[in-house]
Amino acid sequence: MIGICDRACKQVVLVNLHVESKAQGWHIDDIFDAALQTLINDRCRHAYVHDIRGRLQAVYSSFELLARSARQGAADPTLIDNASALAKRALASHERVVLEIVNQTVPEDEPVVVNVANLIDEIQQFLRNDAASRDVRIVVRGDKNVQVSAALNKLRTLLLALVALSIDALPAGAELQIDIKRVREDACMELRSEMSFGEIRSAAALLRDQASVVQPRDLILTGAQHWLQKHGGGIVVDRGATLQNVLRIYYPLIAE
Amino acid sequence: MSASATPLRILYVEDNDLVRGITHELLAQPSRTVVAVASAEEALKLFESDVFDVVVTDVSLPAMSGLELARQLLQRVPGVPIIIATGYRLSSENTALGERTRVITKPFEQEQIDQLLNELCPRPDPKLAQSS
Repeated sequence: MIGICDRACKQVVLVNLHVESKAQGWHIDDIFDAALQTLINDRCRHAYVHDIRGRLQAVYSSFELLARSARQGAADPTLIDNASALAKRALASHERVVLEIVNQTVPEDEPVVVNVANLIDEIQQFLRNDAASRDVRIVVRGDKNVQVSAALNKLRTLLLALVALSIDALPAGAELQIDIKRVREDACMELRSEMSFGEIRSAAALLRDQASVVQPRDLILTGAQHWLQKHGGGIVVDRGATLQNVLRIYYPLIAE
Repeated sequence: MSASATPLRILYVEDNDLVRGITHELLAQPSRTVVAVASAEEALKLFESDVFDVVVTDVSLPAMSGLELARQLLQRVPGVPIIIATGYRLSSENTALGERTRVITKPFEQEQIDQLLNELCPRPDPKLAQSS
């Protein structure tokens, strides 16, 4: 499923997206979705594989233990029982991670209650090797009880993409700070990075500009802005006096 | 205790509780002592106060990565044997950490890790030691 989606998305994004695609019946949301999904598929396929292989290690090891216990077990059946219990846990854990991955690749629109800190933890977990390979450290701080009501996979994909872009913009040895806070009626996630933002173009401006080739990064920022604004949120870029810029992502807090 | 009877001391670093628990059991044998920790930071701290013959580490750890841990350990004790266990395909740049560093891809079997441990930390054959 991931592979098929990836190929389709790359046709959109990497073959120099032009507004012609609109004439072919693309809706702007589809294009933004494709751009986001392309980036995420590219960035996270290693993480998917890593998670599956990691849990498979527990399965492999538990069966090795089971065999070892069986060889030694005539004198002590509890050895076999323990190894068997570990094997069952390992298989259950493997099933869980496969289901999580499947769920993440299926877009859904039904809003659910999302704890932002938990979501950011999940994203950090997902991108941690990606960050480590670029020698960037992700530090998450802030309010642990901020909740929003959102289409989880969509919000996760969008935040993953923005965090991935922020990682790319940092030099080796740098820290990507992510702060979670409440600002009036909104949840606010601040990403401090060295990404040099131009203006985030509106979807309409992007569609009007028929001459230029759209960079995936700009498409992702515009797409994120478009989706967030549709749901009462948005992105604000605060250009710092130093190299650091702050990308503030707003999304309405859950009604209490 | 003679040198040949000294257990091989393994420092094992893995953040996933389940994988750590099961693999710890798998690595443990009468001829080995395994100390398992969940983070690179814990491993570095332990390495200062204790002696280990070999380090087996996951790559993807919560804060400091297994690769960074390997680099820091090699700075402190050049030549310390390290086995990097990973579900990723690592680049040659990342794996070029020295002659006594090896990479094993998850999921691995006991025989594979045993082979690497024997290669990096050869132990005298107890039968030969007894007969001499």
